[in-house]
Amino acid sequence: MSKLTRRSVSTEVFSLCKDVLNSKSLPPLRALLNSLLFSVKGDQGGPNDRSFFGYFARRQECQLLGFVLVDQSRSEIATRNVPPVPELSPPERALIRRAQASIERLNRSCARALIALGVPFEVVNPYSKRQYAVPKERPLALVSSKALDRVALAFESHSALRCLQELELPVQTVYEQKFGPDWPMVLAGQVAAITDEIYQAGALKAPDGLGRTVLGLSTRSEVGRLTAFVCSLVCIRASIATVDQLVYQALLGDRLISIDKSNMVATPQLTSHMAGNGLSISVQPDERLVPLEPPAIVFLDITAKHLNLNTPAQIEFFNFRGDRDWGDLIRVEVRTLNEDLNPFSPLVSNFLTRSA
Amino acid sequence: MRQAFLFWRSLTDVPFDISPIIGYYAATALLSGVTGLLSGTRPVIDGHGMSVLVSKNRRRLGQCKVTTSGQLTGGLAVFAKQFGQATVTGRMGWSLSELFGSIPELLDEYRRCYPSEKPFVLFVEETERDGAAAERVSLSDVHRIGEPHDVLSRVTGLSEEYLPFQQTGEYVVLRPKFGASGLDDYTITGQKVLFLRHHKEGRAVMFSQPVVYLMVLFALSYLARYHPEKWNPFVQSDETGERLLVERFIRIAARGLPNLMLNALHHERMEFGK
Repeated sequence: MSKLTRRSVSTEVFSLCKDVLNSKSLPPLRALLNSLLFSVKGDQGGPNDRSFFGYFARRQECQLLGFVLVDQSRSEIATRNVPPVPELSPPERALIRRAQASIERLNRSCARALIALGVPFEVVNPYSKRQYAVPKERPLALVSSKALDRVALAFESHSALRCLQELELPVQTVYEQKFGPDWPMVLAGQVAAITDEIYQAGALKAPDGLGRTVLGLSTRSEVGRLTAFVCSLVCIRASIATVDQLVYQALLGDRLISIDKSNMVATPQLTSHMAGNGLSISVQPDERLVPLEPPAIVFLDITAKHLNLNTPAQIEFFNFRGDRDWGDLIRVEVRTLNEDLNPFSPLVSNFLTRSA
Repeated sequence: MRQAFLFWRSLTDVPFDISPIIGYYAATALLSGVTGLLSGTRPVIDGHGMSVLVSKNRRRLGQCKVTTSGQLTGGLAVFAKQFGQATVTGRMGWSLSELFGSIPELLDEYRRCYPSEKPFVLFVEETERDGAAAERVSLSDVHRIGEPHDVLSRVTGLSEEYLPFQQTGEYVVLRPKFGASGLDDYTITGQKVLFLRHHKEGRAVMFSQPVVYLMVLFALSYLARYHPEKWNPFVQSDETGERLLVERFIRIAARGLPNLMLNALHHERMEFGK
């Protein structure tokens, strides 16, 4: 690997998204995804309308993998729903699977430093809970191997990774002693469960249990060290999931949706808690805001008297309210992302501060 | 200012026949006084800065025309600049009816008298929902004037203060932009309104309410003084059906113009009950 300058995760990932946008492989893939996501005007519900495919893929909330999952379970879905989910042609299937293979390779690059610490990739793989066979096809050339190296290097400076390094936990020894040979699965399950619990509590508060567990713990105790360890993994996994979402959005469009004074209608309230910084924001709908559903990433540009935010954030709740008398309104709940593209940064900063 | 005060006090007592004359004197004295107080110097005013064209062939008062002289020291130009930062250049003709149609308090009477004409004002309802301000205008009121986009593009400052409007079945909904409070035009009784620009000589023009009042008072006083053949039948038998409108205007001017001048002096909107 030639000498690379280390930059933050967000800088490197946004740069990687630009590579995706300039990739020659993008236009046919984008055209295919758009044909599966959106109806052509005048053809809604018609024989050529393929948007049912995209509808089910979106509902999976796992980006491009959603298309792979729908493709592999198409016959199952077809028995439950009318009209049937359209079938992909072999070249279309290959294109999507190759693109997903490229995402899997990217995810492994993000986890490279973590794997070197003895943590299995599956523990931080955002798709670990999904039932699917990782595509074995040759990855689509969406990003260069140099860009992957740069992202891997950036993840070395992830604050959660620093936290793990400070803990100096002999992962395999400790977990194997506790949980036996299946410890990677157990650890992956713990990480996924905490992540789910955080998301179920919503962007505006931390789960009660989590606050009680994390607050007041010292990394000098074994419980504290293990908690800090799992929380760090939760954060790294969440950052990788953010990378996947950003790349997916780059596949679909050229710009991030911005929530700013051109669509906001009231001052949002910022709530800081153990699992991140959440905001509830009301925006006036327009056609640019159509893809606002979770887990979309948006860019917040808010300058108010007591609030100054210029940061990416992930949508976690979306509510459209149609009102014939006073107009339509969208309310979203978002969680801001830090330089590591980590939505749960207080989780590790809590331990880092104490370690310091 | 004392002269203005005496004129205004007598305006409520004089017969309708001569009320526009007293009203115009009262208005010029008041606007001059307030201009002097705000600028710190005695304003240099040379003449009315406008004239009235009365067509013998046209029966209705609303068809009379007020024409600006374009003279920068004319009363109209001085007051238009002081109360609304409008620059009066060149000659612009304003029908009395379109001036009536620019005064929100007259809207009902205006519609009754001139059903085929299009007003220059829209009433706005305000509310606060989900912590955000929202305003709406009746879609039928907008359609009376034109297509919503065209109509709202004539409101000065609308695109700076509001997000793009939403159209529902019955309303045009406006939401102030984040950090903005929306436009701030109200009637003297506290009803929010949007004023539409007029088009004169190829450009969009907007005069503030005190200036519109002044122009109407000038036109009516001119009719009362120099055109008895038109004014007397109008006063005595309401030949044109516009008397109620004019009476209402005089009452509103007597109440509204001093209120607007008080607002200008204090730089805030004062409301004295409905």
